[in-house]
Amino acid sequence: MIDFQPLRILLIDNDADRAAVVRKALVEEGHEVISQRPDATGLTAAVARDEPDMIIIDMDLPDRDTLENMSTLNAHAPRPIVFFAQEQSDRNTIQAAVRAGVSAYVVDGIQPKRVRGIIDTAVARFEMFQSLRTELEQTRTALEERKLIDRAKGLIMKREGCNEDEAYRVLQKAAMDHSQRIGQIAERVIAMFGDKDAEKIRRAS
Amino acid sequence: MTDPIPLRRHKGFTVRLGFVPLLDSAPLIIARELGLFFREGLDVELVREASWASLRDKISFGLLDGAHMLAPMPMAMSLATDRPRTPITMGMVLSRNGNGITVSSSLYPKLVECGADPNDPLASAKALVEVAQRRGSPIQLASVAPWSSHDLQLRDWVAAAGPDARNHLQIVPVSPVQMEDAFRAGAIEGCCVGEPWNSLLEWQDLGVILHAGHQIWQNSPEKVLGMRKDWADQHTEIHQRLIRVLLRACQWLDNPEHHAALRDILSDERYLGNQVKALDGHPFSLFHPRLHQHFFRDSANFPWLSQAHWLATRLARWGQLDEPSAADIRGIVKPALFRKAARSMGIDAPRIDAKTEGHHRLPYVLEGGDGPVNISGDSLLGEHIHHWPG
Repeated sequence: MIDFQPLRILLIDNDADRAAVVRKALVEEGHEVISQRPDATGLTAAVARDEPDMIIIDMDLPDRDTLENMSTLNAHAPRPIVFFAQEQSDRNTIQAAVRAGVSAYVVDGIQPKRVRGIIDTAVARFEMFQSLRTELEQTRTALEERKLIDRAKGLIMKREGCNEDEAYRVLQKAAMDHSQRIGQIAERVIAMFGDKDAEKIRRAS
Repeated sequence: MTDPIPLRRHKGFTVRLGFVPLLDSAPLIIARELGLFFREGLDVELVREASWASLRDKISFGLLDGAHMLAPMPMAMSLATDRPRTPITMGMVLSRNGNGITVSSSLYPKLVECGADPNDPLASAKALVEVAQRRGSPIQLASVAPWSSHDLQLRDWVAAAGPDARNHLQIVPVSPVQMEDAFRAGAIEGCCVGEPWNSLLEWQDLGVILHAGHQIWQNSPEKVLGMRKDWADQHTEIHQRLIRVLLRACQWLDNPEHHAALRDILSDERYLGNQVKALDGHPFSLFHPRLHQHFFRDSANFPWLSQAHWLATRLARWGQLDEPSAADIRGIVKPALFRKAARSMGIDAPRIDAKTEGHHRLPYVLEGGDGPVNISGDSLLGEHIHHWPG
């Protein structure tokens, strides 16, 4: 049994619910989450002051560029985790993290093995939130697709002088032929035959 | 050399491209909005990234096939000495110029007092040093990423003022989205950044555009199309089509008659949104006349080996790479791919792959496949001449 030194972790996430869940999980594992910031206002100063061992940040925040640049400012700056990705096992961990939207920065000298556990925890929590988000996204896409399909039907009706059912069948057949979703075919129809206001309608919707 | 990671294939997507929402990501956005991808039979998913770091990582780990990249990025990713390498193939330039060096409204008059001159970057660099010396503290300037043309241009500009000029400034990291707040808070006194951020800072009276990036390196490549090398090797035909589509988009963008439509498109929330809306009423619409940003004219899209080598030597100078060889660059930059795609569209390109950089102040003519082709000027600050080692 090796001596367990808790790591001091700085967590940056603009999703408060998710941050709370990640924080709870890390604290349960005996780590210290020193601060939780919604964004990187004053990030450079905070890192210099608190000297965290590790920073976990949402991949989709612009502050990642700020962190990347810290290594040009001082020697003790946290370095992006891709540095560890030399071994296949690390690469898999990091690939999973990138996919889930977790990005991590670690101060040189911390064992990659220890880092992996923390990332796994964060990834698990992020993925939980992501699947919720994906569900919402899919609902929204379905609505948008309906609008696209309606617009494409209108264009086909105008061009072919057919009724709505026939226009829908044209789309349906094309989707079968190209093994694509009807929404994708509708988008193509709009790109090919749509006039300028087709784009406007799509953007306004 | 790292093992290629199997790419995640999305049902129905042929290509996944990342972009950072800046004015010069327009070629990708236009290609989608005008249906140009569709017409070439390409199904492209555009993924907006909030930072260059996340764009780079997603490419490294196979979540993106390629992207709208900062011109030095293909070299920084392919030749990295401090991280695992991701080999990149670069077959075209997407835009030239467009960066500005903008200083805060309070610093500007002090610089002018010390001899700064918007027409003379050397005099301005010396003024910067003098202001710092007079007040006894370094000037805080911001750049976006260490491997960006902004950062390299800023360093080259200040270095031109003399060997110890570097001691009089601090380059701090600030992402473009946070530039306005940093100016407002007085945390930084200047920055080198792409559009529309310079225009926005000036439009809101936070800063003054002191110099344009092209006064440091005239018409240097700003953004390029960079693809994972393993993807490009496996998908030569799709890559050709991608270059064709983006070349068409770049041609469309250089026509000023299209700029009103472009503005409409870019102000969509999925693209640049408020960055563009905040410029409502701005007299220059999107393109600030001092910045000379362009996408197509004078063979703008041709990927010169010598320009990529120049950028790689700058990365090396500031300690980010080992000294690059001609072979290193040939492995990344592929003028032949560009020539083939351009020829299939009836667009001519220079016959040579590399040239001596820094000789031309004015546009000139080179031999193309079918006759003369126009090439833009390429002078470098301090009348520097860069020789291609190949």
